Amino acid sequence: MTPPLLEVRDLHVEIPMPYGRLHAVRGVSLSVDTAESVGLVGESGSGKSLTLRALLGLLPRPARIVSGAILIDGEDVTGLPAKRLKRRLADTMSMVFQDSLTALNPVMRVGDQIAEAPQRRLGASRGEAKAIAVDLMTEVGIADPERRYRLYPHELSGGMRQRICIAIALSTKPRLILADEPTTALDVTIQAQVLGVLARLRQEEHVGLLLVSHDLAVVGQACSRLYVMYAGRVVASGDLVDLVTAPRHPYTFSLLRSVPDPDRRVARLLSIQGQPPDLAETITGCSFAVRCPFAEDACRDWEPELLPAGPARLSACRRIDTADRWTAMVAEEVSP
Amino acid sequence: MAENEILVVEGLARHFAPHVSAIDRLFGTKPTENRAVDGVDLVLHKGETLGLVGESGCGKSTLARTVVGLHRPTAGVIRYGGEVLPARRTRAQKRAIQMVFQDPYSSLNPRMTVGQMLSELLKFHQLVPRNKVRERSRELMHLVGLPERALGQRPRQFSGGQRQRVGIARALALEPTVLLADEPVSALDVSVQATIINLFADLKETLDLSVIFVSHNMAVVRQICDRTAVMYRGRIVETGSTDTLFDDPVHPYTRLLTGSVPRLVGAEGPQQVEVAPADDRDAVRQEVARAAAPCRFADRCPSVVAECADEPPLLPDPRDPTRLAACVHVPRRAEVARADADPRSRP
Repeated sequence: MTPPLLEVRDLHVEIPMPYGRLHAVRGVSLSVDTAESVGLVGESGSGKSLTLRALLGLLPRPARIVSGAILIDGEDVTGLPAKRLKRRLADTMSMVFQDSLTALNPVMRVGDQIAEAPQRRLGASRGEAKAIAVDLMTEVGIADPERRYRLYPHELSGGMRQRICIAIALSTKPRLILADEPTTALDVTIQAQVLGVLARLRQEEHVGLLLVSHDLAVVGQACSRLYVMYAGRVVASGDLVDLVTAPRHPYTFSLLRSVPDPDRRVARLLSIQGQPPDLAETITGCSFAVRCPFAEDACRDWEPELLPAGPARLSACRRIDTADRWTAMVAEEVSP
Repeated sequence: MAENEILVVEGLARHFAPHVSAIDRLFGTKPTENRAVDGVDLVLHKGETLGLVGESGCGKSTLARTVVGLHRPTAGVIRYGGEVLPARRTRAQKRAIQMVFQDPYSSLNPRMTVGQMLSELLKFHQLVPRNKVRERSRELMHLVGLPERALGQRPRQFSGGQRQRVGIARALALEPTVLLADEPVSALDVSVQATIINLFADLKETLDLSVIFVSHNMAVVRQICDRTAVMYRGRIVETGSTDTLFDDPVHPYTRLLTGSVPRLVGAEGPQQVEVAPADDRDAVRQEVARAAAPCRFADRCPSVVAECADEPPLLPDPRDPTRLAACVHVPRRAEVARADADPRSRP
């Protein structure tokens, strides 16, 4: 069996705070195969963005990786000297950020920004680099690339800018794109186009995608496998369709019933009571127990671990066996 | 005027004068005026929730702010309960139409406790006798699902969802009949979004509110709005009951919008990503673009025809007259036979 393109084992990220340490990522493990599209969903503060940034060594100060291993093609790269590690990671993966206006250099022509990496990293000449940049612009669906090459970021619309960012990410010929809420700032019609570009890259160029988003529908549209994060941990993972049609973790279950569906109206959305826990504190037991509609007293003492919940599925819930009855249990509660 | 129409907007426009820079003056160039809202007709019925959707910059927020009175209209009238609202509204008129903002943090005074904020409003508008102010404030907290101790807290002590509840309580303190909600759930996390959407649904029931719900999130609009209006570049391009508008959109822009909404499972991708226009359409498109007042969507529209050179008004759908759409193709939606007999039928 070929090892996955990217594997993360037991990643812990902490942020030192004036009043202590904020344990933001608490043992995340995940993997992405070649040309696979994987989604990482969670609410703000769940640690999904930090996990993604940690993979490329782009953690914002003062956050730092406490422990964990990153494997590329099955090889543990964590122990490599800093410079080689960075090179190895950057050769494999590229990142696309949410806000394209701040991600781009405002005083540099967008074409030159795309041509920069081929010139520096791949050793292309100026002319070659420019040709590569124009090709990449065509590839991400920018019409009239020669003219647009000479524009500055502020002269382009948000959707165009995000395409430029994707072109920059592609310029190092990565095998995997890490995207952090790439369409959150975009209009829905433009979002569809950008997601379309990412899907086409995967199908035609076999560039994998690890997409972080708070929007279940966006992840559902773009990915075939999902990891659901809550309070710094992965609480459920598996094939998208399985996860959505038959959730095996109460958080996934509640989340799916709390987002409106564009194709149909439901009598009432399920509202998840309470708030996510404060990650500066030590959490004992299941972190979702206080908000969970199905929690028992024992859940508060149960140290969560990912349990098998079907073929290629994991869920960190000790009450998985009751999952088939969850819909009925909630129905009783909702209708007073 | 029909009896159940509580708010009627006719030909409403709000243009923003451009900033004329020194360079413009030097070269004598005239920067174009920003026509954020450019001739909007809209009806809000008593007790209904009307969704207002469109992409960013289409003027939906400006429309809401103009209706509430935060902007003075450049042209057009707003009728409330049959009466035209004057440029300077009376206190009662201001009270009747209230707004909930997107970002509750920046729309609340950080230095006042919720209790102070509410009692200021209640006293100024003399809504309850002075000795009942405290009681009414507590009532409002119950109404929006906040504990009574929230009255002693300041905005920063609340989470995003709670803060939005405070924003709603502030609007409801004035006992409005019409509530304009400008992206009230966009800044909230998904799990919190549901609680606020449910709150809106409950309030509509208990207080018999009429709501205009501005949002770019189509799924949210589908969940809570009875009717929906689609806005594009300053104009309404389609209105109709939410279910029919989503299931069977008439205007090409509405089709693009509903087709672009990401789907969790089941859809194999956006149904209608902007297609590269065919060559013959290109010629038509250029022709149309040269017209004085072409259809605003013509430059992106996959079904552009020569008639698009004249911007169409909102026309009733022949199959369902409660639906309106501003597209030359609308009258043709009747039976093919009729359309064949008179292809240019337009009122």
